[in-house]
Amino acid sequence: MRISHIEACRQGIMEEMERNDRIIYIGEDVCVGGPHGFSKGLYEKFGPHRVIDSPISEIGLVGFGIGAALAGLRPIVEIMYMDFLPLAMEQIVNHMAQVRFLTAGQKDLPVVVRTQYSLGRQHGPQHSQFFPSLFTNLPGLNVVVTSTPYNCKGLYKYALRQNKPTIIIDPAWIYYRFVDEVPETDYVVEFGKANVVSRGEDVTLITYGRTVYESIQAVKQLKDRVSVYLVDLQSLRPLDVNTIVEACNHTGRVLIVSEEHPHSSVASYVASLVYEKCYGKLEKPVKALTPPDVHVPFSPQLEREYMITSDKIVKAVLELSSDEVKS
Amino acid sequence: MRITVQHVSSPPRGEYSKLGLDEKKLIDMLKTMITIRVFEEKIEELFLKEGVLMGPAHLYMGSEAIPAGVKHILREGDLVLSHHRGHGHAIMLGIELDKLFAELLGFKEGHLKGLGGSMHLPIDVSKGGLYASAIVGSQVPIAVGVAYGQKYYKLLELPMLRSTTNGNITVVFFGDGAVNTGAFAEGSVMASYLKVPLVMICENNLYAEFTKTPNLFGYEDVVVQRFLAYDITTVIVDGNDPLSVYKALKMYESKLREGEGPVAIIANTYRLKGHGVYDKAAYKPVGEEELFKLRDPITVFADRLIREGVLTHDELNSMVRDTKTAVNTAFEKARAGSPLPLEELSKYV
Repeated sequence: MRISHIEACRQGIMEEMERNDRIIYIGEDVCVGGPHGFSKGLYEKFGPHRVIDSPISEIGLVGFGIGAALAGLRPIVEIMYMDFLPLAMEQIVNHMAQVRFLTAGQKDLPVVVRTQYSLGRQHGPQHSQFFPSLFTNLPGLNVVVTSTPYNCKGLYKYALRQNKPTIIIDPAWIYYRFVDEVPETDYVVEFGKANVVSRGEDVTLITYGRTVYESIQAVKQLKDRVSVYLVDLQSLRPLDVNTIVEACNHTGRVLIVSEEHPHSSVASYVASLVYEKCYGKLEKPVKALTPPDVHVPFSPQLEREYMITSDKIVKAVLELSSDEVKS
Repeated sequence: MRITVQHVSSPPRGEYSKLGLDEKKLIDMLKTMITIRVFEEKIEELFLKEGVLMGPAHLYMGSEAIPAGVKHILREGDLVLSHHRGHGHAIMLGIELDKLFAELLGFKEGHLKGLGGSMHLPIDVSKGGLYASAIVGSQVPIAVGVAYGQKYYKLLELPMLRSTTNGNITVVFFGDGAVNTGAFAEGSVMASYLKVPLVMICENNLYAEFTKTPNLFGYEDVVVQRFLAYDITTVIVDGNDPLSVYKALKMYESKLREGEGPVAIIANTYRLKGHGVYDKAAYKPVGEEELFKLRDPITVFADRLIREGVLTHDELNSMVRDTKTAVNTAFEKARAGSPLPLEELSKYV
């Protein structure tokens, strides 16, 4: 069936809630579907004990999720915008990430904190940010970023079947924009595995999040000129180092595309891994394509310039492959 | 329902049987208090005299009556969340003394394999000790989630963690310092809103680290004012008397187990020592500790039990002697341990 990204997320969650009555869903405005319609229909289907509206209390929300998981439930905690997630930073850093460690393995913590970032939706500096590396720095957390209707459904389903605390980040820009084929049958997308979108020969393009959509467009535009090995990381922690290394060794030319701030990001960590593990095979320095090191501007025109579009990716790929461009 | 603030005083002897108190329970309360005191004195000695223990340790002396009273309200499946000053709770839960010492020494024989240490000591899931936060106040919203789990299992008639019956409760401990944190505020909001079976016990020991909380605000009832804001039924008790603590809980037990919402207990007590084991508490007013020692919870309760004929002087003396022996033996056993190899830590992430 062909469905949108947001519909696929919802399907994944609904199917798992049907399978397992220990899954509950809590967040602000979730009973009426929230501002984007993400949780639409959950309340009608699963009722007030399993789908819970929360006051605007992000510390309370994430703490609640940690506690409910300690008691043996599988809570999904929705944080409406990624920008609100730092309100609960202490709960995430000291408790969510550490429960298993400081209880010496006595307790697993199957809590899922889900959120979205609205870059590209003219939401201004405090409703557009994408900063997964604030969380990937922490041992003990899974951090995944969905990017397609197929992987979002499978990643949500996997998150709800495994036992570690997980942060799932959805790019809201693709919620309704990305429509694709999704299997009718049950499937999961495991954490710790990157998705090889295309196995090209000339340039390796590593990306995650909204820019996967832009990269797919770029690969199409480059079709007869450059053959791109496109890797969607999807799971930022655990990270699929083997697939990254294989992809980089294969072409020797590496472009990392990320809409995070460039400083100390997942992109910079991947670049360091590539230098460490693929140095002898690299034909050119690793190139990172990121927004400028500033906050997200509101101005719709400026925001568009700030973002990584398919045109920018095409240009960067062409530069990297310059001595091999087929005429 | 609008909230009530109620004072509960110590039950007279004639009320014991109505409250379900028998000699065995009374003696166990005293024994719990003595065990906590002797354990803490040993730890203080191991830090300050022998230098065997390292890092922060926040001693529980002075507040022993609170866990002694709480212990006898708990039943199979009830869960406890604690904080950095939690040695008393660990002993209330019945975690073996040698494991506690091994944990404090950082050895793999500790119940947290030396990964948690003093500030997480009351965690032993097999005994109902679910979690302890080293960050002041952060356990409160977590406890709300735990209590919601208990409520949820009751509603859906699912088997509960460590329990085959329903109607379990969660007990969360925190100090008066915690009530000014954001985590406490939001946890209280959630507890009040979700009407969870949660007992919120404030060990009101007068000090938030080095500072007397009421002095910051210029009024005494800071903790009461916080609970009023969140519409949580509040009971004030003498936290130096285990029977008052027990009675307050007993009065609200059915409300809690029936799922009518949270109850706050403000147990007024006193931190006999400094904030941490190395803190000499020079900021305390001269004579304050001595004043509180006059109503030391252990002396007062032991005297009462002797007066009421529950216990003799000789029995009290041998209880103290036996406890000291047990604590020393446990430490000697624990000190033979060793730490985990560093390579094994990834197993616990």
